[in-house]
Amino acid sequence: MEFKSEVAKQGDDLVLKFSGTIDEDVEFPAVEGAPGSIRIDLQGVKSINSVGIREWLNWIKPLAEKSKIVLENCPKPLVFQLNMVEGFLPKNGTITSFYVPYFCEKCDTEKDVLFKVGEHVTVGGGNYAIKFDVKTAKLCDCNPSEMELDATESKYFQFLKRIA
Amino acid sequence: MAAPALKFAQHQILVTEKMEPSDVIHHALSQGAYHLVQKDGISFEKEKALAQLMISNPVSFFADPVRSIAQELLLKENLFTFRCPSTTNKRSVIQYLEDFLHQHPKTKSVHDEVLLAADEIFTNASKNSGSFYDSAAAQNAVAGEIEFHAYIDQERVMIVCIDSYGRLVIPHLLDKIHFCFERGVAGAIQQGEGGAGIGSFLIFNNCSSYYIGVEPGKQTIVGVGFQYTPRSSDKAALSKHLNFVSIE
Repeated sequence: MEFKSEVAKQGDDLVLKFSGTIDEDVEFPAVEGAPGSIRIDLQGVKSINSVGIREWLNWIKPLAEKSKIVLENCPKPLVFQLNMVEGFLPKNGTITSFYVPYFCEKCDTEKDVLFKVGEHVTVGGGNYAIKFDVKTAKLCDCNPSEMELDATESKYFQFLKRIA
Repeated sequence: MAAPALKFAQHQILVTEKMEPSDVIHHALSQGAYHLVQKDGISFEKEKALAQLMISNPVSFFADPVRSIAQELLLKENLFTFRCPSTTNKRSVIQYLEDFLHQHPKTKSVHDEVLLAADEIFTNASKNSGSFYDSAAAQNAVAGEIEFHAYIDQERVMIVCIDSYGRLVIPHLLDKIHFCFERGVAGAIQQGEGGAGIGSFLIFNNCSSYYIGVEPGKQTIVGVGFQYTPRSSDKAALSKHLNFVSIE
């Protein structure tokens, strides 16, 4: 799936919207000047490979030196990179929302739930607390729901400790 | 400086358990343990049988690597095969593979990992671009052939990519993965390691088994196995098997 980007200005801020695959063919948009913040909506990103990781780091590092980076709607493949690759979320960067995978073994349903920082998960003091209640969220038709996190919690949410 | 003495010959099988992934690579790199199988890893008996085959009859392995890795008669409905020139756009191959995986719902739990690994190994095969490939030979690369296979059994999905170059240098590959464990992915990038060594680290991180066969100048076989369960397990922490062989 080809990488696509949309760029829009909102006052002093820049809003970028990415979709597709981040790989050796990616062409991130050039950012001129020094916007107050750069908000990057990653909802449409399907996957990232090793060359894509390198391209991302090379692109975002200089931007983070002049603007605040804010990641939004971060999908699961990028959450893995947030946890594994130092600098994937720059030091002054933050994340407002990200997807969390759940599944139900009983009905074989998978759901990626959008966690909003401050609402479904809170951060502070170098730690995080999950507020989302999967039992009452009705993510599948089973009664009672047997939805479970489809990841290792301590690993999947690890990156939050860095922004806390 | 003299090379360190190898404690394991490459024709021996190291049977272990609960060995950390970074230690697996360390053993392979420093001690020449190219056949490392773990009792608590997935399909242990099949992995051990594969190691024995690679050691005792590597010609047989190179003649039919997919069946050798699967260690069973291949069922047509569980097998995906795609042959193409090395210049083929990888996105079409990945799409065909994704369609195949969708026909087998039990692969859902490893869907993303399989596609990522397929992307990495197909790219390396088509471009011979990894820093662990023989760079002098790669400069003279001409378009070759690639075979891409996927096979699904009761416990795992395996993908196997075969190129017609045979330029992969196993110790270099191990060295790059080891470097990523030591310095982290970002550290490896800062050291100018490029994308390919990191790709192999990502593959190893997600997989349950890693297979390589090199017939210099003839073919390179890179295979990866992924286990379906437990669903929410930390894949990076799985006990992993290695089965590597290189013949002249």
